[in-house]
Amino acid sequence: MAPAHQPGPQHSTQVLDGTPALRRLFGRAAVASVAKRRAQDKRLPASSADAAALVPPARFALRQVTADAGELTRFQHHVGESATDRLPVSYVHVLGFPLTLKVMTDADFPLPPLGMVHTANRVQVHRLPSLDEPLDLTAFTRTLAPHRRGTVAEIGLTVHSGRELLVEETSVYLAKGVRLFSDGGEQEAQAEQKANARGQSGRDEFEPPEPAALWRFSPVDVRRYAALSGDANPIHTNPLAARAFGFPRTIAHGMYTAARALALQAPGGAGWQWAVRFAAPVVLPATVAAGFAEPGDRSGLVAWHRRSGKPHLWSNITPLD
Amino acid sequence: MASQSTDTQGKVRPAAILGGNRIPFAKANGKYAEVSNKDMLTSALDGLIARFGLQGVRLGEVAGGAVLKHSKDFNLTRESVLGSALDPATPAFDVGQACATGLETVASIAQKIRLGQIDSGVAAGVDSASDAPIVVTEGLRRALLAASRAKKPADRVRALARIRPADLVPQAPGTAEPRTGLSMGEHQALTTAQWGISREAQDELAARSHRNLAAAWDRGFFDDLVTSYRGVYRDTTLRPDTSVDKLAKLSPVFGKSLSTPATMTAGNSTPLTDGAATVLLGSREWAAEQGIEVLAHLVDVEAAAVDFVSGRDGLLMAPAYAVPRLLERNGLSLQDFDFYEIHEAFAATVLCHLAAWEDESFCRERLGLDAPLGSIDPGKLNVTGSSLAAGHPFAATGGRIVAQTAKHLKETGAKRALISICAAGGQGLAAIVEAA
Repeated sequence: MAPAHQPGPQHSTQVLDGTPALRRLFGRAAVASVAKRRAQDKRLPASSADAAALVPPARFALRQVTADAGELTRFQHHVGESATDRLPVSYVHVLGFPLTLKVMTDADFPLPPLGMVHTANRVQVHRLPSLDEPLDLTAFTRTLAPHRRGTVAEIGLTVHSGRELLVEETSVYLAKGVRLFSDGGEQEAQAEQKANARGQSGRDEFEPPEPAALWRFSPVDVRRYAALSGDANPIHTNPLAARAFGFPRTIAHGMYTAARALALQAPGGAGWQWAVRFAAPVVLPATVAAGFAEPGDRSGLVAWHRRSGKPHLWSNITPLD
Repeated sequence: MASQSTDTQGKVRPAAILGGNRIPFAKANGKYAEVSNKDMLTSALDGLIARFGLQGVRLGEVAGGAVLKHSKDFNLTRESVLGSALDPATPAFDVGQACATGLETVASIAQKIRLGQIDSGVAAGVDSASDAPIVVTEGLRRALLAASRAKKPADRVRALARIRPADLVPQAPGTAEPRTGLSMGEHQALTTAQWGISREAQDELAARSHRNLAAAWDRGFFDDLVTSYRGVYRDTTLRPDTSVDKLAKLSPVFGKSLSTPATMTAGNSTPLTDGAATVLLGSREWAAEQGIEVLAHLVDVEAAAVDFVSGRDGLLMAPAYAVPRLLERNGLSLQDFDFYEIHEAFAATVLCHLAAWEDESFCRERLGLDAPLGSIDPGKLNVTGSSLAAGHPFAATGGRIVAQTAKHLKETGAKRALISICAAGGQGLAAIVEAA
């Protein structure tokens, strides 16, 4: 394991026997969410200076995981990848997803897991895993931080083949309206304003480039992605659940849109990173247009709702730092 | 090909274009709605055989292809040969390069003739947008395949139980690019806007295509190039009475969501069409033995492809690259031709290619040339009509153009013609044809 992610002595890594049953995890997530929201109402907000102390030490690991060829093929085809023996990094996210959910449903995790919004995803790819390679996956809470609209948790996932670090992923989730901290949201809000000024996320002034691709997302497509990815969060499949979380209809998984972006961008070579920032959710059914910031360069992609012009995500490929 | 040196077989010899035969092209879901690719290809072949007296003759090889192809037609060309009057000992093979398929079959057969591997051959192409393969949904297909793999009846039932009502909707093939999901028209609309091609210029080109094709039919130009089929005697998409004014009344169909005004209509885009075309090729010696007059020679061919996915170039812009490479290898300038046959996928496609060759920065930065290729005389472009008027049964277009060009060279005594065809997947093919 790379030194940066060596579990410190204060960490306890719990190695699971097998992939946890996702249905049960979602059930637990629902129960935990209610309990945690109640508990949060009673708890006094902490200072953001103490954020590190709130990060639960628990790490969850799966050892010697190999992707199933059939499941991989179906996933690759569904997101527009060719079925090669190299795992798309969007599928690495899927392999690690049960662990991510395990982290977020753990008793020590201070935020209610259901209703958390996936706002960003960053992956560093040292080398893509191959189908026949047994992988060791570890998930953990990287950071907790105040946000203008609640609290942000960064969930880390590392993927090793033996001692070789292949992939490091950071999934950023926002717990809307949950205030773990008494301070700190302002800096974040300022940073967001600055980003807006630079035109990176400014929805108002978003000017779509020429469309390079059109993606149609139907409820059937999304139900299939839910089955292939194991992300059975009901906001993607059940209109009532979607409504309960404030969406007019069911929405596509952010990572589904992101996986399609990645397939179009087709990054190659050793050592690259993939940063995705999610904006408006894709409310179903929808036709999403995707285009490149610079014609002739697939590294910077933006996807937007074809009719309304609202941006859904930015996906950027850059060389590893 | 032109720069090829001699090989062990001796000198490379010219590949002669001896003639062609096609069936009239018909608008999709019209007169040919119920016939198959194999039916049309066999009919076009039989017309060629009858015209040149090739009944029972064993040809070197027949190359053919179709863009929209049923999986049962894996041996489409061979099956058509078996159904034709040719000697059944004539081998055949299928080729696929989207809309460049037809020209690529000509190139393949010509290569073999040049190298002395065969003395004669037929290049062919066919497409039916009416009898297109209907595909079942992925869900149904997977369930059926899983059921057929199942060893126990219970497993089979389980597999079939996964079928949902939505899986039962059949899927017709579209013209969308597999990698981008944009239709070909929408792709071209982006390029049209990028090159600032006007609606008027597109309508003018479309009207001229109809005018030229109608004139060619009227003077009997197609009498020895086309054999009627299923009660169709002329290309059914041809509108001899169309005009720029009439075309100007049509509403745009592509590029409506772009920031620039939409300019592409059903009138200046090719309609979906059914049809088949064949070209007879041979060595000069074989032609002499058969008593067949040589119309022209296929001199050289160049393929190109562009990165359209990233938007670096338009989907249909590959010929803009293929042509200058072909010119350079043959030591020719763009103006060294008597006629130009630039396939009219859309009127705007042709105009974008011409604009690119006139554009100094495109020629310098993209083509690496010191100066633009320059302009061509519009009076030399698609002089006997092209796809906007005749229609475009994808793989059949190459054969139509090659036969038409060779005959026109012979007829006029002109020296040289340039052919270019754009294709899906960001590909393009260009060829030089010279008088015999």
